[in-house]
Amino acid sequence: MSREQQAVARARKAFETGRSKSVEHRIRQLKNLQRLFTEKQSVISAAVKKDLNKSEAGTQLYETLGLEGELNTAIKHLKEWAAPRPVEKNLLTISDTVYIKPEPLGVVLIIGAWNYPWAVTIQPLIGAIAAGNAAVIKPSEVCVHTAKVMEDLLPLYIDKELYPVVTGGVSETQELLRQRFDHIFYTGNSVVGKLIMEAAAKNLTPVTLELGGKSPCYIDKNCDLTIACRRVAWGKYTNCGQTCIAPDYILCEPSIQDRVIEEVKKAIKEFYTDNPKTCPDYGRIINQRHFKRIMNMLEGSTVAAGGDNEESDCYIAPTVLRDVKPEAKVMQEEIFGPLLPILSVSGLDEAIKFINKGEKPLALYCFSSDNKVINRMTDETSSGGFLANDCLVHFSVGALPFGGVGNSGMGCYHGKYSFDQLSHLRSCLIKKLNMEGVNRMRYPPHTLKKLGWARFFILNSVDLGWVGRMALLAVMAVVAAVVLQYYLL
Amino acid sequence: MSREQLAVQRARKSFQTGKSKPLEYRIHQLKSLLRFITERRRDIADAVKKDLGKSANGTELFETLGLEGEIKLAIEKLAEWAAPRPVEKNLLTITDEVYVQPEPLGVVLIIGAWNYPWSVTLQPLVAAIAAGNAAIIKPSEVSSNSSKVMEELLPQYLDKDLFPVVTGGVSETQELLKQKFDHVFYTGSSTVGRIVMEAAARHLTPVTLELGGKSPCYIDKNCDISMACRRITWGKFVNCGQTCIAPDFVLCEPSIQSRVVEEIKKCIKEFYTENPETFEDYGRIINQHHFKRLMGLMEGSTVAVGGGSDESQCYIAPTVLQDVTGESKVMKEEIFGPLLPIITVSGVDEAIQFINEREKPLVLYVFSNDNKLIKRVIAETSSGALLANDCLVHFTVSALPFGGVGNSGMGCYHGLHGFNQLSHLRSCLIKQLNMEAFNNMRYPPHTDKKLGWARFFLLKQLNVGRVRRMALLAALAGLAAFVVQVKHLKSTCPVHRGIKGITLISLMYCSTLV
Repeated sequence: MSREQQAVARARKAFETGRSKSVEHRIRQLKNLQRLFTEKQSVISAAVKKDLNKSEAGTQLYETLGLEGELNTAIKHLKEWAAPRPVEKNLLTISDTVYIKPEPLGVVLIIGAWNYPWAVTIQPLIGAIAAGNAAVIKPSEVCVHTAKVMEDLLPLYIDKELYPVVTGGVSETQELLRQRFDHIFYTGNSVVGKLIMEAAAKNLTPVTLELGGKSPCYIDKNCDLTIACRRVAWGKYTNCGQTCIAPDYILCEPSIQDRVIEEVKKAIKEFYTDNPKTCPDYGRIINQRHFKRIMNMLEGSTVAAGGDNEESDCYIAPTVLRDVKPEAKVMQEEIFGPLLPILSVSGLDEAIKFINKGEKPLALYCFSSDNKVINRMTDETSSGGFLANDCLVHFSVGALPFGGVGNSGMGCYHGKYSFDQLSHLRSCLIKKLNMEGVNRMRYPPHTLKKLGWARFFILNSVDLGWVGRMALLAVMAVVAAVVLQYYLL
Repeated sequence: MSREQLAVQRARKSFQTGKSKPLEYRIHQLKSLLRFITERRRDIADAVKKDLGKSANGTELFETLGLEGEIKLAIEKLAEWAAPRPVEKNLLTITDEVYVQPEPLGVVLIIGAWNYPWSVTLQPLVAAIAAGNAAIIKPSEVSSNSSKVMEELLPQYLDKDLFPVVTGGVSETQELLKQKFDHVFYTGSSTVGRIVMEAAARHLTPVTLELGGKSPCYIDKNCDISMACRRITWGKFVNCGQTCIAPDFVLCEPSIQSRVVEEIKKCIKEFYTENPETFEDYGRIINQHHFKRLMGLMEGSTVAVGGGSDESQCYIAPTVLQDVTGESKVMKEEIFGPLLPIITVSGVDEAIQFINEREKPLVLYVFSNDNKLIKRVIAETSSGALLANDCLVHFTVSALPFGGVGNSGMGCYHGLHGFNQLSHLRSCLIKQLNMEAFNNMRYPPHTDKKLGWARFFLLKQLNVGRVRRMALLAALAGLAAFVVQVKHLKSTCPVHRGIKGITLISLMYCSTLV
């Protein structure tokens, strides 16, 4: 039996004992995870620094803070999320117990990514644990140091059998994908996403795919360009552009291109100093392969800002490209790096047309003070998420489902969505062995009279909520009348 | 270009015009679909009679009534379902617009099944239309008469470009599956379900798979066995057992097996007369292939009731098999026919074990008066749905999501669940280009001080709803104080009395909102 097979078999055996199901167990494991992040902050930051050259504060701000928030939310709301959810009754179920019961799925496979290795690997884990599952955690081998830290540390805090960490590369992942899971949660690119879904199909395993794409960023010429460009620059160059929801490219009218470049340049200088290479808050490209990939994209485009680089350091300066054409190399795939192309469009119409020609992106950004522009953009396009007048921050609104559509993914998570995504929401209808008279209408022989009754019961959707409210109002009116009579009149 | 490719292309082009998106249009199409069912009742019933031997009343009861209900529900609720859904804000989004906007996905492929050809093919269509999509409808070729009627008549009621009917067999379906869709909705077997999902994976198309399995039915020895068996008999032999949620097999203690057999025999006679073969409300097996399959399944098991058959008619009598074991032929696959095996177990423990040794079913039935027992079964098993003390009827509760888990499927539908399944629920956050100072805590250089602020804003859980309620309560308290004041003045002026009266009533009403 391979190492991967063993880990999955052990996780399944552990799940079958039922110990991951109790709410107390789930909360205990989540609290242990909380402790991991408070106790091992420096170990975590050190690894992320080696992988992506992120500063300690940067790691906290962009990786672990969000996780702490998700853990707090899950611990606080778990009981509520896991409780049976009563649903609206109809005439036929008026005396029955009708509810949806969230249940664990079983063994979940979580395949993490390398760009925010903690955030995108542990956030799904929080959902998996909260929902009562076992989970096999496969961190990305590309973020070498973080994968090792995860492998070393997680077993010290959470149940090793229920939540094993399985490290490795392509062949280990393929071996894992041959095993049977009850859900697979994958964060990465569309190409691998297809392979994951194909593998999952063999076992009829549902999947959540958090993929990517080219997230467009439209800047309306009539908005506050200084603030807009500041936010875009922050959104773009955080983590050196290696963010699934980074604004991939800008669309704006030619009349404001120069101004946009100026403002972005200003923001770059403000955030990353005159020499980003020496700024502790400016990161590095994850490895040489991606460095080369990104540098190749520069071909054929005009550099308006930045452009300098150093291969041995995997350093690429915050770069802006101007007058980029749709056919340019940089527009053929998701950039996932610190190159910000600006494409000119004649206005909102052309921008929408351009966006709709491409695959549905994970995020769509629109900077405008005009609500009409924003409304048109939302009405006439589609994307995983939509954010007006800022970048990235929808990620931190736990009440918003985070996920893609079309090529950018399927399924969603964050907050309660993580819990629901990794649960089976089982319909439960508890009837009694009485009131058989009502059932006569359904038994053969099927007469027109019986059919008439069935028609009445099934088609009359009574909003019992409304009836209840009306009843309450009537009672109150009576009470008010009584009170008026005796006390005020 | 193949016929299938053309249909998909036309549907996509039509979708891209934006025609299917306005609510008025969706409601108009749904109303047309409703007209179709009412005006063509006869054609539909005739087709189903030829396909499955179902009576006209049976077709209405088990196929079109539910469909009418779903269409009416969608028409009534559409504006509410399609509206933006505001979500809870946090400290950082307190002045922003934050909501989830349901949007159409695009072009949906609906692959129907033959057992309830109208219900399982058109119910997903209702959801697809309601959500603003275009949809290719591929009815099952096995229910050939229904498929033909659908192909001929549906285009007379629905937009032909947006909602084309594409008939055909395996190769036509394979050709369809090569095209790109925005969602594929398949009802059928697990084997084909895998193939559908694999094909969808090539385009990263999400799928809803309504599959099947062996739905267990546990009868507790201490319940009203006569009542239980009546409901099970009905659930099993409707449509000759060709129902995805039919109770596949019964689990009970050996001491009640004979009683169960007796009661079911009684009900079969009550429902289907002494001679079900001539009875109008007893159906037929869909075709010879399935007839042979079912007759093969009986091998090795003891027939306690029924067992009669007529190949030329695809008729199999309502049959009960007793003393069946887990290894019997009839336990190797989903029966999907009028054979009801009874397997004896020593009690609920063994029943649960037996159930858990097998794939997760689409539905699990438990017959018992003991709530503790029912809760145990729920807690220790998994299934698409669980229904206690009856069969099938959870299908008609549209507030309950209908779908499987594991081998019995993924995704769900009915009512709002169908709408949501075939929509993209897009997160929208609309901020303003102001309050930039606020954002300073996130910009480099990242200092500990800024981090402290970020920590505060991101981790502080503000229950905005609660704050609002507290504010309202405070206002009410103030109002109450005012009323008490005024009351003590014991004014007899009618205006004052009126004000006091109105104030008190408003107070009481507001208190119910809190």
